[in-house]
Amino acid sequence: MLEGIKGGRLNDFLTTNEVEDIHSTSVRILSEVGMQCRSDRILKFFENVGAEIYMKESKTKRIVKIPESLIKEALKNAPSNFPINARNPKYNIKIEKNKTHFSFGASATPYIIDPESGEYRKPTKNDLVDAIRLADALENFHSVGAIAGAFDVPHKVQYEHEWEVLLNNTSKHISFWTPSGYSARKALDMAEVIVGGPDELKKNPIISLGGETVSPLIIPKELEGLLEFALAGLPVLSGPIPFGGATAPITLAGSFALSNAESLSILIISQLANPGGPFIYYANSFQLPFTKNAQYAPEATVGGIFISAQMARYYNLPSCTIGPISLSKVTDAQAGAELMQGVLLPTLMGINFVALAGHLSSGNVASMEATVMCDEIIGHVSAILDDIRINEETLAFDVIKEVGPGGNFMTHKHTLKHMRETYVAKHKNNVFFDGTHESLWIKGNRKDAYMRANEKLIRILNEHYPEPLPKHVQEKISEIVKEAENKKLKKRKD
Amino acid sequence: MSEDIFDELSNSVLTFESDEVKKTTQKALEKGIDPIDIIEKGFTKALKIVGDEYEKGEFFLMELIAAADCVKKVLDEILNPLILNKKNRRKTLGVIVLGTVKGDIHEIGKNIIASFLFAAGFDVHNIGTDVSVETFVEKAREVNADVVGASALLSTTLPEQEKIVEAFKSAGLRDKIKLIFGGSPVTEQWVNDIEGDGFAGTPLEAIKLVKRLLNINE
Repeated sequence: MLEGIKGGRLNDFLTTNEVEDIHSTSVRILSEVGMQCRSDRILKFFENVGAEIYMKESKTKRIVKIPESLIKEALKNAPSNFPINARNPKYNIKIEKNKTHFSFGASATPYIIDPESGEYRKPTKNDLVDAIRLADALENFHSVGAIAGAFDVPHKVQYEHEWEVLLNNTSKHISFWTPSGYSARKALDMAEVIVGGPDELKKNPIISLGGETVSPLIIPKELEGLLEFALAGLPVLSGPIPFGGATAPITLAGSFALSNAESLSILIISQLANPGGPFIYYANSFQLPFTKNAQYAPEATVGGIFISAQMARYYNLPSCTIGPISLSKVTDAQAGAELMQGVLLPTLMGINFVALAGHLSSGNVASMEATVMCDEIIGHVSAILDDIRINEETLAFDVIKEVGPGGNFMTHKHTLKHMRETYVAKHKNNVFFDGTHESLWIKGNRKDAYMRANEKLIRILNEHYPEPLPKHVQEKISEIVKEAENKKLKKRKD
Repeated sequence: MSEDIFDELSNSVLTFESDEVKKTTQKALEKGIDPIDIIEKGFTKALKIVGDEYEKGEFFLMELIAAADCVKKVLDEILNPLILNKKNRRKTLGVIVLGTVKGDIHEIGKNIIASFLFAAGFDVHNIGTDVSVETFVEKAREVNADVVGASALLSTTLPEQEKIVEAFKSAGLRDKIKLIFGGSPVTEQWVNDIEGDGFAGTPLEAIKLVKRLLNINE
């Protein structure tokens, strides 16, 4: 079992009245405006509970008006803590109050920064294998998602190939995405092979899935993937991403209320499929980069981290967020600042599951170096927020008295006894927060943070090979991928 | 049998407790072990282990210094008085005088360097802090130093290092003695500017520097 970071040390930002104003606006959005549901399967679930459904004009105008009672029911049923397991039980985690866990990647980006040339290029299935091996090695990631897409396989079966890579190359929990119910089913089939069947998988949830609405207020067919996972009893994460000024109001509060409404609609879908099933909440308030400089808006942090965490607490739901992802195109100073912000703030707010580590350029570019940096940043933040031991031994009055003015503590027994408990002693191979003297830095070829992370990355890729799946399991999983290829690729020829 | 006692001596140093080292040293002497063998076959081995482990990152600064301090204490208090002929004492790679310059009382860094150089096999005379230029010259002459090192931690005391170079020139010792400098504000450039012989940013660099200056092959 991996312990989460002790999060939740920041106080709430909004008053209870303000939180309730947001909530009641979201309730009005769902009940008075409604969501357009583009999935027949999901629509059926709403029909079954008697939600008002308006089939106007064309087939695509299917508006579901979600009454407050459904929202209340879903909030009542959804659990506030649950296990998130892993192929290797030593990597099991528990989603619980004020414990923060970080997840590697989550998005199949179309570019990867080549570790050798430093150039952008299209990622391949092999790159994904490397990235997942890396994720398996980096100790502060308790969950793993794809960081780069497998763009050298046929596009229609890209996700099946990616799930295959994930399941083969890490024994940690896997939290990822699928573009359809079919792909989600295939991912579940693969995981079932590993744990021994659907009932075993429900009890031992080694995979989870994120799902997104399309803003404003559309339940897309792609959400059938999330439905499949919910039906299978596995954890699902909501991820509505409206952009203020474009797909949501420009004002932070309105944008958040809309996002919150969409997130609640995903919660309801999960609870209609499986009452009491594990759900992780997220809402935000991104802003369209509408100025010439297309800057990153602080409003996204306020909504996606501060308000989102507070709403989750109000709903008594676990929370997730988009964490250490950078808008920078390279792993530079901007990336460093954004990565630290993306680690520190969600943890301080006690968000339980922080995903998307290691993506640059808003999630279009994968940087394995950025994940190496993130891993160390998470370690630092974890140490900063860890419990502080104040007792006679740690206050060390007698030691101070013994050493006295002008003495030194370097070789005192107390120093030798406790120095290995310090963070730097436990992490002596870290490279990001470099503290060497400038003379050594000059002699050592002036390596900046990127170069140091790159060296560590290459070393890990040369050394770390994850615990493999049994041969017959590997074969079964690749059969499932072939099955998908036969179905999807042959269809196209017909 | 005698092999065991040398292992025991080496292991006692690795406890980093000088009482342990003293006890084991007494035991070895009672068994009739030559003091020079105690140093060469027991302590030198231990200090090498500590140095190697530090290089690998397994041991820390404090352990290296603690080990060196333990050995130095036993040498000063027990073994050196027993070895009457000074030449038979611990084989030394060279004689080094180390001090902090006038007006500066920072000494942790300088003491670390002293411990490392001692552990590496040099005879180190640590002459403390707030040391005048004259004292550096006198001590160097007295102990027949190969290297003199001066530390300055403040940018205000940095110019003292330049005065040291001048003083050794005036004393006619500049050609015989290597002058090395260190301290937080010191850079390679500064040492070049004042015509010193070398600068090191870390203890291990300092060992390499001194060995290079004295043409000692590792």
